[in-house]
Amino acid sequence: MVDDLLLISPLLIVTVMGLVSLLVGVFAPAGSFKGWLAFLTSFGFLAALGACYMLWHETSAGAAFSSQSFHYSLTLDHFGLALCGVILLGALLATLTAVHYLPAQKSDHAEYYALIAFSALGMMIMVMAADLLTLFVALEVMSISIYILAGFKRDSSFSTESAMKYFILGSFASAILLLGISFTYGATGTISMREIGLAVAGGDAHSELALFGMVMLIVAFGFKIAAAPFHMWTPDVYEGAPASVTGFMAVGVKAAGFGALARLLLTCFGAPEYRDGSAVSWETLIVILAVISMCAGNLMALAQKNLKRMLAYSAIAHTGYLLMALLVVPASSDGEQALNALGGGLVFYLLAYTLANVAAFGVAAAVGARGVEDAGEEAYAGLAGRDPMLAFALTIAMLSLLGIPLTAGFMGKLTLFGELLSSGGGEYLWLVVVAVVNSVVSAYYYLRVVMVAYMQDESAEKPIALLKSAPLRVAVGVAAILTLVFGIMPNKAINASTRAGYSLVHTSNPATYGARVSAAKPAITSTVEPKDVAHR
Amino acid sequence: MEGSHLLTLVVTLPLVGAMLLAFVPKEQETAHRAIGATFAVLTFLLSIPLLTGFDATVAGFQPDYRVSAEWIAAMGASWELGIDGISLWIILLTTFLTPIILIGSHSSITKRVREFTIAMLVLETGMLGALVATDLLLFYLFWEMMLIPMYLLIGIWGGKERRRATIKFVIYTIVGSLLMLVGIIFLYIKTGETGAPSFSYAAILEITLTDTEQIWLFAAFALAFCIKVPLFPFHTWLPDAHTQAPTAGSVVLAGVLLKMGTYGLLRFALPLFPHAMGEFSPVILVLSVIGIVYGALVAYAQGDVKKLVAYSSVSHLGFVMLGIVALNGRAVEGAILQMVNHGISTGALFLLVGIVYERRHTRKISDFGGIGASMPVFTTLFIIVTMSSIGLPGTNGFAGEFMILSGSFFDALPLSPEAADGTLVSSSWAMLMLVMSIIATTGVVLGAIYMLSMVRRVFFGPIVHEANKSLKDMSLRETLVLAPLIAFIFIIGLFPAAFTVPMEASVAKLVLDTRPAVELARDAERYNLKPQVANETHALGEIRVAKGAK
Repeated sequence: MVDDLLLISPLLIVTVMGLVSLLVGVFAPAGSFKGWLAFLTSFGFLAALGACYMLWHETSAGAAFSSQSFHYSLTLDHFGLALCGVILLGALLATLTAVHYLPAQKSDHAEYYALIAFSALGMMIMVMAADLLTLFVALEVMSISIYILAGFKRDSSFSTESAMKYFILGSFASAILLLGISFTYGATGTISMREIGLAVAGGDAHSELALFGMVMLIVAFGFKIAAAPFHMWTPDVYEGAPASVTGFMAVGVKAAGFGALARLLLTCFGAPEYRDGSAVSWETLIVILAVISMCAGNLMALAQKNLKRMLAYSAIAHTGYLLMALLVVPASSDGEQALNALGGGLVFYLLAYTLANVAAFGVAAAVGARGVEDAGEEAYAGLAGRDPMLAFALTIAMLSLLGIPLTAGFMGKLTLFGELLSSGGGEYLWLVVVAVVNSVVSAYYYLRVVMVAYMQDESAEKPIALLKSAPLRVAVGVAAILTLVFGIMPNKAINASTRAGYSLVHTSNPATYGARVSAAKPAITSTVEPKDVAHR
Repeated sequence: MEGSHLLTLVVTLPLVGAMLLAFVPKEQETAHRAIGATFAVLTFLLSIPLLTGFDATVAGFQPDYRVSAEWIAAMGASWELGIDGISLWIILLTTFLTPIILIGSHSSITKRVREFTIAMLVLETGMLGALVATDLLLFYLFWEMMLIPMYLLIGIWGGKERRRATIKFVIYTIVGSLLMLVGIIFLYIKTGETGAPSFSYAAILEITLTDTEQIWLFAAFALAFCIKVPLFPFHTWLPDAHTQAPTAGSVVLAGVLLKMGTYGLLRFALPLFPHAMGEFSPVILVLSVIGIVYGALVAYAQGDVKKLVAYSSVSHLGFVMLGIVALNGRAVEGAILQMVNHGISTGALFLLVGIVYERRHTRKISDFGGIGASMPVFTTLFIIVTMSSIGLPGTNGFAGEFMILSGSFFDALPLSPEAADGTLVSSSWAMLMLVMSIIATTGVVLGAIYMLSMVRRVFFGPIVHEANKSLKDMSLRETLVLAPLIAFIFIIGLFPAAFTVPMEASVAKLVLDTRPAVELARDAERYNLKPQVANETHALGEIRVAKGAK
């Protein structure tokens, strides 16, 4: 029992931090500076990150909870831990950008930090969830916190509007998710992902009902990860929400959504007839979503003048690239090909995406201090002259999103495309070419940001209103430096994400993993030697 | 192990300088210029041992300068560098031109000097890295590293329409390079079929590809390289980029960046996909000759000196491509020599145009006339460089163009060799090559026409514009910047053998390795009569041997 509490220590730390922030908010005098809470919360995130790191090394590839403490509702594997790490890193850096940004926006309330912690908690549980109800509850914890955060500038109609839009459409998506869960439950008689997988693979499930449930689940997740054509909310919410919130939701929700979706599809519907056999197999659906997302996101981003709105469409395009990672056929776990582990590319790409977006939204927060949600071209034109460091970080972020070498984004695209090409004998070569053509299109709008920051002069009537904030600069700087580090020396990160990928291959196989081991067994069961992977 | 990490040092030194500059306060412009020039000169000095220690008898990469270190072990990519006869002179050209550009832009770049110097140094690392990388991922990394500094060079310090020019430049380049990336990943996965997947050039040379695979991969690689060259009809970004770029940008663009395309063809596209090279040879041949003539004709019609020089680049690079397609020792050596020559003479032309632009703030030919009287030194230097660009005997341009053209004629002969039974076999490739070589030769004449008519209109005749009467002649700094370039125009022109000797072994190996497959694909008629048109004679490019065989 105590062992199990240790295993979920990252979750516990984040929960405690959220509660502390909430309590402090009650007793702190109204109108006082709440920024110090950001440091407290960040410290919590850092501690949780440390706990993840510790668990990563203590847990072997196929770790599982031994007793029935959580009634098999959580899976602890390297895949989950890696994504928790990504989420925590994003949350940590995004929290730091808020310290002086919120007072500047006249919305300095303690609840902000509690909500960030709770939504991070929801995200972390999402990527670990092993049954559908846990998944749903986690998703709601995350979503409700984010709905509130999106409307955190209470006196701004813009912010409120975005929260309202997000809430209504999000509730709709939640309803569809529940519908999908009920259909799947109806078809298989269980909510445990593993047992659903066994039933589906064994032919015990009512296949039409299960297929319907699967499609509903994909649609609901499509909404959360902002895949076209379920993306309509994205630009308005990204633009309306405070920049520090957008930065957090852009990276956190995406990482959590993709983690949960990958686990769900592979565990429950990994059987060949659901994967690529039937007329509505999920591979077909994912391919369609990926192509539409890439093309729609990139084409619409071309016309955007507002940095935050452009990043919203770029988020849709990146959903398209990331969806491609789901198409990789899991490699046999003998670790032969480094680039052939499903999840490896996904994790690394999410890491690169997180860092780039945190930096970009951090800069958007720094220049958007005029009160209104202003991240138009005038807000940062000539930034290079005013603040070379922020301009440089913005450039690194844009180049990483574009996928130029020396940045993490390039290595992410490389691993992703490499994985997809090497699996399935080049079946998806055309999809990679579509993605590459899309990257070319995206060069136009990403480089325009660089152009505005470096090649335009500061507007005379509306000079840049730069937010003076040391924590923000640290967060943006760290994100930019890490982007370069993972772009130049990605060896460790690639090894780790490959290992995460192998653990997903292992834990998502219902036949070999998650059998209800007896309580007598040691706390952590190991089936795959981690060295196999680590020393590839 | 003496000198084993010399290449690493040469490649990274400019980057170190750039990082150092980032910490020097924004206002201290003199310090920025001094640090930039120091690091560029140091890099040049460090690259000299590459030449003095170069073993001309070694075919392929020099074992003394091989560098191999771990980089991304998880993906089979490593820090592998090497230098051979093909890359030697282009590397030296890069390290030689960069200090000249940095010192030469003293008066033309006056705003944001720190950013300018950083961009130039990062660009130098990118160029050098792409030239020495023997790991395809590393090569791609450096290849793309050149893009952003160049983008900033044109975009920040460029002319009025710089925005359009930069976007055009970037989109063209990225289209090519991303498709090349897909090709690189494909090759990488192919190497995984027989062992651990690797990006290493040596490992990728080992794999066998089907003809269809070769054609698609060649298309992906060659598109990236041909855009960079630029081969007609992918050249439209070049005149825009050149006219909008500051002098420094133009010099580095013409001097080194364009050579990346021809170098890439020689280093990667040709040895990796020889069959596809053979299949595509007629197309590339025709396009490069169109480029020679078209570039020359369009240059003749230009009213802007810089645009004229830009179009002349299209024409000159057409010659280089012609030499590569002819694929015999003489032509390929000529092509490499011509790459260096073009870097020197076109670089010098852009510097000279920049000098007069700083004084008159115009580049229109009609705004000048008769300035020979007011700027005698400038005029003398300009005419020397013009002669080199035209290819007057005694200057470097002659040596390169002569080798390329004689090599391409040599490739066309014998037109209809005799088969064993005494019948004459006609070869369509030989006919095409002969016709194209003749047309290309007219390009030399056209070159003289457009360059000399420009010189006449700019420097001679009566002075019609009052402002031209009091133009200041070249300052000491400007003369010193140009002096090394002028010196090399004559050194290469008078002693071309000194420059071709180090290339010979590597070029001969390249031709010997690739020519059979290329010839089989493009010229099966003559290929089947093997002993008569011996492969070795092509490799060495000795016309004497061919005569003896007949």
